Amino acid sequence: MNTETRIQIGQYILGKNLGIGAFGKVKLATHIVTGHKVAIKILNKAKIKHLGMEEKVQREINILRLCTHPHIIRLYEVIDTPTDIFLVNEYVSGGELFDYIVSKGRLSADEARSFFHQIISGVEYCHFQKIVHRDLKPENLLLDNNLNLKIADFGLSNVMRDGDFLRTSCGSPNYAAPEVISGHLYAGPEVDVWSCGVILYALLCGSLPFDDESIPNLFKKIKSGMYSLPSHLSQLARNLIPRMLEVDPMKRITISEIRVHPWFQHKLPPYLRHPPELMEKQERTVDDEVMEEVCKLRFSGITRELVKTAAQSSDKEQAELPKLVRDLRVAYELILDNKHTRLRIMEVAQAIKEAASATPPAFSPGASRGATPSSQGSGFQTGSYDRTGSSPPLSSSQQHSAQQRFAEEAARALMRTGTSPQVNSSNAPLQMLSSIPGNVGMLSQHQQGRRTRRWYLGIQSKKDPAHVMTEVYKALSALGCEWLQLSSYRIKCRWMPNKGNAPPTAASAQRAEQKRRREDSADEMSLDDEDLEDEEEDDGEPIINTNPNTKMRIITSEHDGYAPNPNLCSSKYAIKIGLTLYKVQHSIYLLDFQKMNGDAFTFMSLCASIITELKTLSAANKLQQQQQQAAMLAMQQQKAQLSGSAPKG
Amino acid sequence: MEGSIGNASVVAGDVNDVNGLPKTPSQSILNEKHVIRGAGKEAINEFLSTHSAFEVIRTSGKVVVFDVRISVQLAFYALVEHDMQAAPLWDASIREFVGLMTVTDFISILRLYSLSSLPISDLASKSISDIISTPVGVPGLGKLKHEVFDAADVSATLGQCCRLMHGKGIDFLPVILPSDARVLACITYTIILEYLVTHFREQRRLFDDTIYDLGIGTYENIVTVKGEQKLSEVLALIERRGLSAVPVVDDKGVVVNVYSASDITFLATATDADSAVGNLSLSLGEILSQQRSDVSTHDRLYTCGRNSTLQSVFEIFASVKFNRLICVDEGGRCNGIMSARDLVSYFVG
Repeated sequence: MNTETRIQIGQYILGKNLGIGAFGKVKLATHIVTGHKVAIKILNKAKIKHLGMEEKVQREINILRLCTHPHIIRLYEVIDTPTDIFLVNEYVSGGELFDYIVSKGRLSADEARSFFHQIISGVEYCHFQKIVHRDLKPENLLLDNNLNLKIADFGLSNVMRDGDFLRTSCGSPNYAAPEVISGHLYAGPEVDVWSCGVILYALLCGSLPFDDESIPNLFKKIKSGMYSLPSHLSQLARNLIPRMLEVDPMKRITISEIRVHPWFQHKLPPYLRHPPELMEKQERTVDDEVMEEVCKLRFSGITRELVKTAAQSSDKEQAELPKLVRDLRVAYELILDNKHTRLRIMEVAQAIKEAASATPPAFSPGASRGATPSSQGSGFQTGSYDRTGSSPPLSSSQQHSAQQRFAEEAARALMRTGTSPQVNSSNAPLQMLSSIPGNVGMLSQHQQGRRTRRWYLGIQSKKDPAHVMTEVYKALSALGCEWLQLSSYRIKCRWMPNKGNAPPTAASAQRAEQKRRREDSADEMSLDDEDLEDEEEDDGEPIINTNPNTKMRIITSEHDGYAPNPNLCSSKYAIKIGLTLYKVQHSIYLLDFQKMNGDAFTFMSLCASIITELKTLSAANKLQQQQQQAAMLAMQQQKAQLSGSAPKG
Repeated sequence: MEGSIGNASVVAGDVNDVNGLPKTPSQSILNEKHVIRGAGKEAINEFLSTHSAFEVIRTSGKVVVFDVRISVQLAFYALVEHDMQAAPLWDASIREFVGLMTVTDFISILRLYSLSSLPISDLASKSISDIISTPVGVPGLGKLKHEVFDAADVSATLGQCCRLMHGKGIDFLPVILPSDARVLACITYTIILEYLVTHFREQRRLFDDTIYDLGIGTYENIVTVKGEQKLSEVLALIERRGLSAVPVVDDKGVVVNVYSASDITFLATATDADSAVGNLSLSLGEILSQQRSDVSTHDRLYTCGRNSTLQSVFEIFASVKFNRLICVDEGGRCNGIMSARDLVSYFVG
C-alpha cells in the first residue's frame, strides 16, 4: 500500500478518477506494456450483492464480451479479485454526445448523419449479437478525441432469446418507445429504433422531440407520437424521422430499412457498409502488422507462436488460456483498435470526398438513365403515396447546396410531391383517405358493443399468485400434462403426442388422471432424464410424415420434387412448455407460455387448451367462492350476534 | 395537410423513350434488342435463383395461422385486424396444415350466403372445417377445398417460388421451416418484387423496353366498371372473368379508381354479417369512398403508360409497392393493366 502512489492492477497502472458508477469508481489507467489508455470500471462485489444485482452485472459483462465493433465500447479484460471486479474498457476522451450537442446546438446535416451512421451500425451489430440496448440516449453515446462515437452502458440491455418478450420498463423516458412506457410486451429491436429516432432528432434539431416538465404529459406525448419537425430539416430527414418515431412498433421502420434509406446511404463510409456478420469476421481476422508489433513488446517468454494463438483466440476461450496468452491478446487488441481507428478516420475523410460512391439499387426511385432532375418528372410525375397521418406537412426544401442535391432528388422521387398531371385534376373518388378507422364496424361490434378486440399473449389474472399456480396445476392435470416445478412461479410441462392423438383437451382427462396417479407414486418426476433420452434417440433428421393424405407439398432447393413433411406426431415433437407467472402491474399477474420443444402450432393448441381449462376452473371457482362468501357472512353474523363484537380476522 | 402527399394522382407514362429509333428497325437493331432483353431477363432470373425464400422474410413480422376449429367469422376478424391477406389452416387433430384461407375466400363465402337461402348466423357458429367440408358447390370455394396445396421450404429459391406460383396460379405461398413444419410467412408477388427492387444490383441498362412491347400485362379486352354499378354485380363480373381487379371509369372512360377482388371494405365496415350481405347491394362508388386508410393495402390506383419502360415500372414499384398499374392514354382512358404477378411471370415465364 505505502510503497508508492502508483497502484497496479494486472497489467495496468491506475490513474485519476473518471467518474463514479453505481458500484464503484471508474478510473483512467495505462496499459504498462503498450502505454495505451484504458478506462477501468471497479465494481465492488459486496455492493453488488447488497443491491441484488449479481445477475445484472454478469449480464453486462457477458454482453460487452460479445461485442467487437468500432462503435461500441470494447471490454478488453475482466480481472476478478475476491472483493472487486475490474472491467478494463476502451477509454474515450471526448465526453458524451449529449454535452457535444448542448455545446454546439443543432449539428449540420453531415455531422449528424455521420454520428447517425455510427449509431445505426453499432445498434445493428448489437441486434446481430441478439442484444437490445434499450437505453440509447446521447448520455450513453461517448466520443473519442476524433469525434468517433462509441455506444456505452449496457447495464440495462437485455439479451434477446428466441420467444422471449422483454417486459421490464426501463430506460430514460424521453427516449423510451411508447410500448416501453405503456408496459406492453415488446420484442426488442424496434425499441432501439425508436430511441435512435429520438437521437437523430436531437442531432438535427438540437432539442428533444418529446419533452415536458410533467412525466404524465411526456408519456402522453410519446404514446400519441406528438412532436413537430422544424422547417430547416431536409425532405429526406423529414421522411426518415417520422418513420422511426412511428408509434405502432409493427409499422416502425427496421434497421435494415434505415440502412437503405437515401438519407442514410448518403456519404456512408465504406467500413460501415458491411453487414454485421462481415464486420464481425473482419474484426476477427488476424492482422499481421499488429502481430509484429506485439512480438516486439517486452513480455517474458514471448514467442511468435504464442502471439499468434493469442490473436486467433476467441473471447469464449479466454478463460482457458494461459495468463501470458491472455495478456498478449489484450496487448494485441489495444494496438489493433488503435490502428483501426486511424484507418477509419482516413476512410471517413475519403468517403466525404466521394459522396456518391455507393452502388444504388438498380431500381431505386429516380435512378433512370438520363433522368436529370428536371426531366425526371416526365417519367412518372406523381402517384398517391400513402404516408402515415403523423407525418407533418412538407415545406419547400431549403437551399440546395451541391452536396444536398442528390439527397433532395431522391426525396422528391420518394415522396411524389410533384404537381398533379391534368388527367387527375378533378377526381375526388381517387382520394382514398378515409375517416373510418380500422376497427370500427363489424369487427368490434359483433359481441360486446364497441369494444376493440384484444389479442393477448398468455393469460392475465388478478388473483393471488399462489392460487393461480394451483389452478395451473389443476388445468395441466386435467389435460394430461406432466410437469416439473422449477421455482415457485415457474414450471415446465410436457405433453406427449400419440399417433392419431386427438388434440389435448379435457376429453383426454381420464387417461391423464391414470397416468398421473402412476407417476405420483414415484417421489419426483425426472423430466430431465427422460428428456435427454428422448432427444438422443431422435436427434438428427426430422422424422418423415408417411401419411399419404398430407395436403401440404413443400418445394425445396435440394431437389426438384417436394420435401418430405416432418411427422409431428412422433415423440421427437413432444410438446414442452415453460410456464411462468409474472407480475405486470400491482396485483395483476400474467401467465406466460414459452415453447421449449415441439412444433409451434401444436404448442399453441396446447396453450389454448390450458387457457380454456383455466377459464373454466376460474368460472367454477367464482361460483364456489360466492357460495363460500355467503356462508362466511352468515357465520360472521351469527358470531357477531353471539359475542356482540366483530371477530378479528 | 398541405402539399400533395396522400393525394391520389395518376402516374403518367414515359411518352417517348425509344430515342430516335427508326420506325422500321433494321435486323441488327432487332437482334441487339433481343439480346439485351434476354440479358435483362437472365440477370433477374439469376438473382431470383441465387436468393432464397428465407431472405424475403422480414426480421420482425407476423404470421397468422387458423386452427380449423375456430368459427369462420372469427377467422375473418383475425385477418382484418391483423391486416393479413391469407392464413394457412392448421388441423390440430392430425398436426398438419390442411389448406390456405384468403380474403377472397371470405368474399366467396359471403356471396354464397347472399345468393342462397342459407342462414347467415352460420358464419358465427360454423367452424372453418365445417365450411371447407360443406358439400355445396360454391364457385370460387374450390380453392379452399384443395386436395393438396403448395408451400416452400425456407431454402427454396425465389426462382422456384415464382415458377411455382406462376405455374399453379397462386397468389400466396407459405414459407415453411422444414424441421417442425412451422409457417414463417406467406409470400406474395409483391413481397418478392419488393425484395428484388431493394437488393437487385445491376449497372447495365437492360430494361429500356416498354412493357407493352414486352407483352407484360393485358392490353386487350380490358374489363372496366362504373362507380354506379352494384358491388354484387362487380364481384360477379370479377369472378366470371377470373380477374384480380377492375379499373373504375367515369362516363368519359377516364380511369378514376380501381377495385380489387380482395377488397374487403364492404365486409370490414359492416356492423354484422347481415349488413355485410346488405353491403353487396351498395354501389361501387359508395364502397370505394369508405376504403380504409390504415391498412397496408397496395390496391390503390397507380397508373402508367403503355410505353412506360420496364425500368420505370420498377422504379414506380420501388416507391409505391403497387399490386398493379393501370395503363392510361393521354386522355386518362384505360388501355391496359399490368400486375406485380405479370411482371414476375414475365421473368420466369
